[in-house]
Amino acid sequence: MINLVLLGFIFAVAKLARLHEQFTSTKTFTIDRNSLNEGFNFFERFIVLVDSENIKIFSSKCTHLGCRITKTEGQELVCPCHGSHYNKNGEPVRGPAPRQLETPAFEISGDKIIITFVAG
Amino acid sequence: MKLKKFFSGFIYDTYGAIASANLLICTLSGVALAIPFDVSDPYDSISRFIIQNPLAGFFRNFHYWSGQLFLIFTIIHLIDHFYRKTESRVKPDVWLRVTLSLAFTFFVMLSGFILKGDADAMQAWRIFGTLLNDVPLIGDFLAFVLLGREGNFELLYVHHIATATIFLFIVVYEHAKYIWTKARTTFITVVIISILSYFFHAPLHDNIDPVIKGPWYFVGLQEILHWMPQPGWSLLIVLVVLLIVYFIPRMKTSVALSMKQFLVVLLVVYGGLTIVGYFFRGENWKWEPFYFTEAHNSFKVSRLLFRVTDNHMQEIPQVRGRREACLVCHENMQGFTDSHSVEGLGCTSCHLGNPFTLDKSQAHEKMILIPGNLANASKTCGTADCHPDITQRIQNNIMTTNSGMVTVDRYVFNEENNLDELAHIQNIGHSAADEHLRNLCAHCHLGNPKREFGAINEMSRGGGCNDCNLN
Repeated sequence: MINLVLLGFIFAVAKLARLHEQFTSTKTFTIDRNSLNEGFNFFERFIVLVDSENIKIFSSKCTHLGCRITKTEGQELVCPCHGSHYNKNGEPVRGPAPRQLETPAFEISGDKIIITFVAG
Repeated sequence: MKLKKFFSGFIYDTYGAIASANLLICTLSGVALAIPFDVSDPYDSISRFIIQNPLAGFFRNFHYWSGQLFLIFTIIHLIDHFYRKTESRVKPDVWLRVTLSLAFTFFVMLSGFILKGDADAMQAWRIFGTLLNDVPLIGDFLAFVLLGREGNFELLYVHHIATATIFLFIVVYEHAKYIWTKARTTFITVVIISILSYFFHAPLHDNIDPVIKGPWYFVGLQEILHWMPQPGWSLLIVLVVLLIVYFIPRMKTSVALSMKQFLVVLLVVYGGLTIVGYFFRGENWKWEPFYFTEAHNSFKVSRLLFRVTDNHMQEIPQVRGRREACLVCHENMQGFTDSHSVEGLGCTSCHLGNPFTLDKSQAHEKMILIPGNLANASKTCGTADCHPDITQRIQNNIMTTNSGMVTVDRYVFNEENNLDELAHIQNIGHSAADEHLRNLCAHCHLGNPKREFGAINEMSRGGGCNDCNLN
């Protein structure tokens, strides 16, 4: 009986959560291009690579288990949690990461880089 | 048998009773801790009461150690029942909840760990969320219901103080038939936790140290995950363990015995992995055989000093989201460039030490006095938030190696035929050419460590990053 009550409670919570989950929204994050240095630039959600005139933007979320990538080793991005390494294209080259870093949509408008992402 | 007798001398009640006493003490200390704790900014509130409110700091340690002992004695309690074959005395539906309570025990512990809000905690939150997301069909739901949105600790806090804790108390009462443990058991447990709390502090990451590790009981899992490109499968291992625990009372005696032996082997292997992860893994989870010398640092948070001074009454300056108690004494420091100003970086970003204390000797422990020296730059200038890539490539920079100068100098002295030969000023010898360098250029290279304090000017050479960039 108690187990059934618990199960009912879990279903109620599930229903509530599903309704709440819908409140995800698309947000933008703006970076001043002049503030960027050559090489990797780290932000909370993103990593911006300035390579000569080229700009590449990656999600800072490791594809292995979602840790924030906050640093480099040599020319590679490295995840501090389990040691996955990614090259300048965001491709995994060492460690357990199974796939390439995600690339968010972005546009360059004058000196501004505007990144669009879904905030959960 | 002698060994068993020896250990039994230290056990002052049943393992279950000691676990229950710890749960009770942990809960009550948690209530006290809830007063200074601010769920909207956990890291800041914990930093502040560690620095300014020693009693709250003590309660935090108390809460931490009672929690760890609760976990340890819960596992020993389960093993003890399996050893004595008494698990079948528990009713099946109660046993189901006992089994589930194992998962809840780890959840309540992990949620407590995450509620520190420091660098370790935030990464643990993301890892746990991603793992739960990997559960087929209900992954999103589980992650959302258990952890809430990243950066908002409210739901996790509710689960920590209410959902999981209430469930654990229900399960304790259901199978043990009591909540209040004996006065003697409670008293001895309080004494043990008090001693632990005074000498060993609940960890709080300074958000500078680049090493990221989960709580000790999940460091073994962190090691396993390091080897798993598809980490979602690790949840299957957890599920299998819980299913084995649940079905053991229903198995034939011989099968149950084999399963119990299997669980013990699994526990021993996991213990080994925990030791590997805790003592032999360093920055970026790299194998570091001598990391064990640093491993205890997580407990280095300042010793409790119950003497309250005028400094304790001051507002502790906050820099980059971290309270910097150093600035209470070292205010008005001058002479830095804007990008390295005290207001922008604080003290510990460069000098390390301990920002969470107002005691001079503790604050200065393990400080790096001249942070720009290249031998230390990876821990100071090169940390994740600052210049991680520069401190790596600077080691091969010609301002560090002076390669061209060394080679040309040797070429002029007829000691070198190839002008393309790479050299490093640190490796020069005592030939005529190298002595020439020693007398003129050698003290300028970036790798030359600066040993004297004071303003950096044209007379003070070397000092790595400081040489050009500090002021």
